[in-house]
Amino acid sequence: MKRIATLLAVLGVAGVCIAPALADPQSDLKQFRDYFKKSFPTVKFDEFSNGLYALPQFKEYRAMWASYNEFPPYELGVEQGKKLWNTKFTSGGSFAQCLKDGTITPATSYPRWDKTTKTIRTAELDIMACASKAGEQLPFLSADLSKEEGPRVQLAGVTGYFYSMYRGKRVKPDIDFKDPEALAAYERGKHFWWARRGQLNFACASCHVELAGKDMGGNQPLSAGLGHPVGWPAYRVEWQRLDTIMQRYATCNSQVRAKPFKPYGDEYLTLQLYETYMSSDLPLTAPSMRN
Amino acid sequence: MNSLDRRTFLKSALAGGIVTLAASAGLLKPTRVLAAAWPANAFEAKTADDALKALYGAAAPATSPAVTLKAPFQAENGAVVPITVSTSLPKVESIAILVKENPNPLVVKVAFTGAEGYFSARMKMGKTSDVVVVAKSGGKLYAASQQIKVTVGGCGG
Amino acid sequence: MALTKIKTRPAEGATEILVLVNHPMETGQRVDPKTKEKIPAHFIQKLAIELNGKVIADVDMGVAISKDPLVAVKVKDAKSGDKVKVSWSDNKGEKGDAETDVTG
Repeated sequence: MKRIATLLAVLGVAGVCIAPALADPQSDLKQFRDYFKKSFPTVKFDEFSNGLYALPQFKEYRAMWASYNEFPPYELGVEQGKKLWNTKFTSGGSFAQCLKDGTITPATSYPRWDKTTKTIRTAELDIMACASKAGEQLPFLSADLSKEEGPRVQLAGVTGYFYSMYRGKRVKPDIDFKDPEALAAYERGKHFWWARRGQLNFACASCHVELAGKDMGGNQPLSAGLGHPVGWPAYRVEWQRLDTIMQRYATCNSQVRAKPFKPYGDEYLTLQLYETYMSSDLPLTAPSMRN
Repeated sequence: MNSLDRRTFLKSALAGGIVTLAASAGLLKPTRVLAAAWPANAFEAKTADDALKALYGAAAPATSPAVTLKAPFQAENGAVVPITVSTSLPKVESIAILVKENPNPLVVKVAFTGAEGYFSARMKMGKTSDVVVVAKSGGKLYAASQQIKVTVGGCGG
Repeated sequence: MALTKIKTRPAEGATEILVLVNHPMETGQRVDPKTKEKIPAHFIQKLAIELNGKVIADVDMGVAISKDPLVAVKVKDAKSGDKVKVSWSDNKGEKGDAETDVTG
């Protein structure tokens, strides 16, 4: 696809390699936004938070989405998440307490670059750390989240409740780009987004930049990259359950016949960092219904 | 009063001969009338007409403007298809929803004893199919029908 | 006990009562990818909606109602503070219920 090559050049990503000298997240952000503004001139900026449902091509999908939103099934998982959020841990403390003492930071700040540990922290990671620190035995702490759906859905419920408290607030991932390691992490995420992979040889950009607004095969509507992560954790109609963004990345990679990476590994953490930075200032809509 | 309490009550009541009084006062009668049994025959029927015969003793009538069905023309996903049925008929006794191409067409039946002739649900459809909704009012059946397209496949993950 | 949630909202001179239940609604046809066996049918069969202690709608459900079933009915003459109760039972004998007050 010639257009991607042009876009790659414009965004300072030569072929599949990064030219760090051209890296400037703020310019990337402006170009990313401008591209989608131009592609979808009738869509208001805030509307992009609704994923594919924001795009004018998907009116029928939106009508059904509006119907699900009248009483979205994720409310059940979120209610269970709320209970867990407020339940005191055996050794004292709780998720609610962790938010008060800063172990968990506001949902609008995620993913954030942690200067002390020099790592990316997402809401789920800090939620898990909060419980681990207290020695609380919760299934999602010991489960293989790439395989065990039950514990992962429970984690999505707690995370979903957490995000629900910040609905409508604008996402501003807490990243200090002056830290070279933070910038390098951002660059790895950007590279991942634009690099082709899998037997289908698609990049995230192939579907969500180039083909955004198209309906592949009539039942695979493609969302725009702008607004991608702000609806997650999400209840996918296809999955019939509330689930994590890590799970979505894995299944998305499988869809292009690429090897899915481990949840919370560098690939998907840097990807989530890049995607969320590209969605800076969009209102949070998590948890949400998605296709 | 559940059966355990009743046994305990009887045991203690027998001592004082209270049972006879209680029985005559109707205190031992169940306080809630049991709802009609789940219509297994209708749910197991393999055709819409058989399901309707099992429920109402008759097949689907011709469509009537008195019944409205609101559903997408194309379902985003066959697992969750939203459908709403409404009627302008007075005193609706029940509404039934059937998906002709489902292995067992009857999806749901609701009997009204106070609520209006209106019902909304989310249902599963195996493939593109006509959906028929039937409302019973004043002993008569009224129907509405619409096709819903279901596209299967795609890059499911 | 599976979670049951009730919402009420005004709807053109009546009150709409929406019910959402956390239930797998297994059809009995789905094959477990791990065991390769059919997952047994597990679905809500009966669901009753009461207003101020009187049943106003009695729902008979089959396996074709979606997972985490949603059903909605409308009722006239419901006032703010009226009591709504939902109770259901499934093919395995499991039950659930919830109560709420009409709002708005």
